[in-house]
Amino acid sequence: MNCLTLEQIYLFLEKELPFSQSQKVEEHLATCAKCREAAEARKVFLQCAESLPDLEIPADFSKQVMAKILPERVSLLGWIIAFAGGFASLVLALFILFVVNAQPLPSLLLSYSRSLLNSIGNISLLVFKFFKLVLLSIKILPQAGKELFKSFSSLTTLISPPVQVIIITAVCLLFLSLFYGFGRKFLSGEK
Amino acid sequence: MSSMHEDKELIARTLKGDKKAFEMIIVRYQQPMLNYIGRMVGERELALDFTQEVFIKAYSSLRSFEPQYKFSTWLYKIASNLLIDFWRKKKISTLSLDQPEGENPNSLPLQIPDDKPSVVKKFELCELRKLIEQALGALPSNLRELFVWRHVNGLSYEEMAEIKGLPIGTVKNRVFQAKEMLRRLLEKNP
Repeated sequence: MNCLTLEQIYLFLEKELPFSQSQKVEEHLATCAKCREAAEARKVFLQCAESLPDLEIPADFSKQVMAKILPERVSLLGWIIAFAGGFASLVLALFILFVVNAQPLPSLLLSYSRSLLNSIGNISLLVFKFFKLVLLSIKILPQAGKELFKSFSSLTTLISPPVQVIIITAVCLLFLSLFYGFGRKFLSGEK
Repeated sequence: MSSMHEDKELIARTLKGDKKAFEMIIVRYQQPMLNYIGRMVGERELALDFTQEVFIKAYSSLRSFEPQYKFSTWLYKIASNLLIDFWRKKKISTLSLDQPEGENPNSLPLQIPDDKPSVVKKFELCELRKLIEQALGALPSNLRELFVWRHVNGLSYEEMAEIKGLPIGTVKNRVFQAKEMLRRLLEKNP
């Protein structure tokens, strides 16, 4: 048998050779000092690579991952504390208002509820007007569309067909380049 | 019960809503995953973040896992794709397996070279391990990945070929290139 190739040596060391070939390699190694030395050196190298130390992992690693996977549940005690905190803030706010305005609490609450009702009334009026505006624009839209269409048709009578084709192609290219540019910017983060 | 069956059992339990089962999966694979990713990115903290991300991604797409495959193979595929995305975003050149970078692999000797002092003789084993860790960083990422899978994680050539979608012969050849390139880097070490 000729001298072994390096690949053969590695495959032999990793027990990746078929039995018959492996036996031939073994027989050759018994007789060839050069191949035996090369195999020995590579054996130690592989043993070293295969015994590289583990990288240190935190003891609570799996818990950390699970905490990221699952939204943390708020315990009953947590809810009670949050509720108590909210309630205490409300009481404190009322107390401050009472001190600042120097009015009896019932009249103070009455005046604030009145202003709250007024604000709600104003907001409702605003929402109502907004919806009215939306309805109006819906009514106008078909008419505007028709007018736009008419103006376009009058334009086509003025411009010859080849020029129309050029204009349409230019507009399409402009849109395409814009979309491509935006796509590149947002998808690849290109500046 | 075999490891593959245990994985399937744990996955089934996770899909039924048993969160503890997925935590057991993490405990089972966290070390090999960190060993692989750590050797790929070279920084422990970054590797820990990546390892977390691999498990989060695996959890969110667990329904797409096909039980006829090995779970570990699927997990390594997620990690490998995540690293490729990371390098692509960082615009660090990632190389195709068909085109290795750096030292020309064709220049690697196929036959045993003539007598040279062996690197194994030059260094103590412990020192040699340190040198291997250092030299790993100088290997092209595509070769490093296969070397780490084979010789640190102990993956079979078949598993590696499945993860990378390459013929086994190609994978064997790349791992051989990685080993000899690494040995050459160690030999160059003063």
